[in-house]
Amino acid sequence: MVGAIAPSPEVHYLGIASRAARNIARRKGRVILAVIAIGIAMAVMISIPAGLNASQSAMEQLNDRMAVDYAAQAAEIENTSTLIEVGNTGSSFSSQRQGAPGQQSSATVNDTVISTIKAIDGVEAVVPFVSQTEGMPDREDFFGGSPPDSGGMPNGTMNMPDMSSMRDMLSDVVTVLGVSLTEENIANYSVLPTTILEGRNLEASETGAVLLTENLTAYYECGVGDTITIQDTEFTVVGIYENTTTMGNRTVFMSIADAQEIYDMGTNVSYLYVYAEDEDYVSTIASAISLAYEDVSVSTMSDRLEELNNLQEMSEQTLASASSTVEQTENTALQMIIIAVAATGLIILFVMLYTVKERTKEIGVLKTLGFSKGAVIAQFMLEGVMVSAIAGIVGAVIGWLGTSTLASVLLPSSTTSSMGGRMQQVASLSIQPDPAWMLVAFLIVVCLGALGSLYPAWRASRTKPVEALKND
Amino acid sequence: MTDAILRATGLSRTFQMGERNVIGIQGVNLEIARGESVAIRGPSGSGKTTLLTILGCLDRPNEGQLVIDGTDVTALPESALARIRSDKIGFVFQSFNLMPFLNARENVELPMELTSMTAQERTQRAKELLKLVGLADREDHRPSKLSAGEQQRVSIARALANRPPLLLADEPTGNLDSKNKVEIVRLIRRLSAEQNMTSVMVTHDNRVASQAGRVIFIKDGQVRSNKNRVPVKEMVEEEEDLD
Repeated sequence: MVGAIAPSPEVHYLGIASRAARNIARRKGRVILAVIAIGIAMAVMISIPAGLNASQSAMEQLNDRMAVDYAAQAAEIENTSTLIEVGNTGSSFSSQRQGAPGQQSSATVNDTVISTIKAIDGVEAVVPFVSQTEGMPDREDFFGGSPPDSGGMPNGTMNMPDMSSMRDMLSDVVTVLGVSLTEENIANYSVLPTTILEGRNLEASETGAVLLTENLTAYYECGVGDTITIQDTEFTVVGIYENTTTMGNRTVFMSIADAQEIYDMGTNVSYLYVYAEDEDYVSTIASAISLAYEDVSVSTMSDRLEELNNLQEMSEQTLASASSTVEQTENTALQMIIIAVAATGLIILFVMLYTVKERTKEIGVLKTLGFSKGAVIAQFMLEGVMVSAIAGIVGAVIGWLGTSTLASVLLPSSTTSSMGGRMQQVASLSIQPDPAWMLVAFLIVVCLGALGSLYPAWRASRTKPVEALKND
Repeated sequence: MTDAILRATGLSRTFQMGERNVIGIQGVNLEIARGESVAIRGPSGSGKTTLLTILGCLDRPNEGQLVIDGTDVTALPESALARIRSDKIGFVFQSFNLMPFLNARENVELPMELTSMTAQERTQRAKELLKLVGLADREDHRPSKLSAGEQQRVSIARALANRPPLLLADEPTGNLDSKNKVEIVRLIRRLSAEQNMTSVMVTHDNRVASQAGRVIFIKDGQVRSNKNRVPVKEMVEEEEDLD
């Protein structure tokens, strides 16, 4: 008598998994191609959000930094309610007293102006400054070989310098600031830096001495006690002061007498700080100066605040433009991710459809032996899931190693360059894949593997067992 | 009433070929006893393979009733038919139909995955079966490394894996040389006898058919003769008469 074997209520999934793994191994070429294609699609899924996050993060950082800068500058301006800045040209009296980088160095205010302004009612003090620039690149270098005069610009287009080379050139520019070193100015009008890191500050009536920032000690390759040469004149470095500005301060402090001498300015100065006795007098004094000297620029606290507000508005517009670019990029990125997801699903679908067609006979044999539809579906879906899981691991590795490259290739460059060099610097440092999103992308790929193989597996399960005999 | 492992009553199967119906089998009545050895013979296109696929629950008849080991399988759902195939029927194909990526032992183990046997029990039984068919030393070889005769032996071992009461073989010697033909037929006969298993073999080879205890001759989808132990000479004369 034939001994009956008790039927199993469950399919042996270990056997199905083992056969699925072997089926993958026996079609190495096809599987490798599918794995690479899906892996790249997954790397795209990882890289694009990383690039977008970097852009958004850079914008937020820049926004925050600008907000802090503006707040600090506004606070500083509001502390100078009695100050009137008087220059020869332009209105760009910086609220940063150290260096006044907007000042045009060739312009001077005649010293006779000083005594006249001092005589105006309500003026408490007049503090003169000399500001000159060292190491400024000449126009030809700065504009890339062709000076921007109207004759050299066809179609009226501006030959703008490259941002990075501009930064490199400006890194050699040093501002020499000559300050009036009277005891009164030092004590009451903060003409010198407040924080000395090394050495000492300049003293009243001191000549032949300079103060440097830390970055300038590297530039001049010197320290406290050493000498540096400016305009063929040697100066002793007596102290190093703290840099307090975002973009880096490259100002050398010296006495106004030294500055006037080395730049052969006689008793001329670059600009004046006029202090009113009371803020109520400011507007009257400013009007009087403007009336007396048409060719000088006069800037009060309200002017400076307005200028700052204008600058802030311009920056906000630039940020809004960058934000809009990022939003547009997000749409493009979303489309790319959808394409990557669709590609993954389709690759699995077609690979598994081909596999099912190729293995019709095997499926028929399995069903002839008594394998159920469920067992056949499980085997083919498991194969799809295994292929996609391998591809997911490969994609994670590609994504991890190549996120920065992929993001810069796939995302429009305007996203990271729209804010100019500063944004680009910030963004390029922070394009890193998010491990949590990598896990999500891996799960998406595995789920797509399951979904993509569902239809082929269902088709396989519907294969009639008699097909196996027909193919004989 | 005999102890029938298989009883077919009025089985008919037609196929739709475009706009016309093609008859596969028509009004087939059969009763095969447990332990019996039956050969189904007939010319090409006579319906013998169609009959075998219906007897093996691989296809369904349009009409009639089929009872296997006491179970009426005619209207069973696909899942139940799969279980019948797994538990009650062993199949041997002309072209062996082994899984090319599994070795001989794993091929034999395959049907046992549908039982409650442990992996160890499956391996042990597969080894015993391979020994029975004379391939104890070839268990690790994949089908591509085995001769046609050896592949058919593996196929027979696989068919016996779940100890089915019924063995269905479709032209099992069709792809074999004369020597292997004889050996495979003897093997099927011996194993059927040893395990009290019913064997139903489709063949167009009269010498193979003559080895069976009963020979059923089919032509045009109908059973033309159903006789015990028919000598080859008689079969040839019978064919000529029917032509």
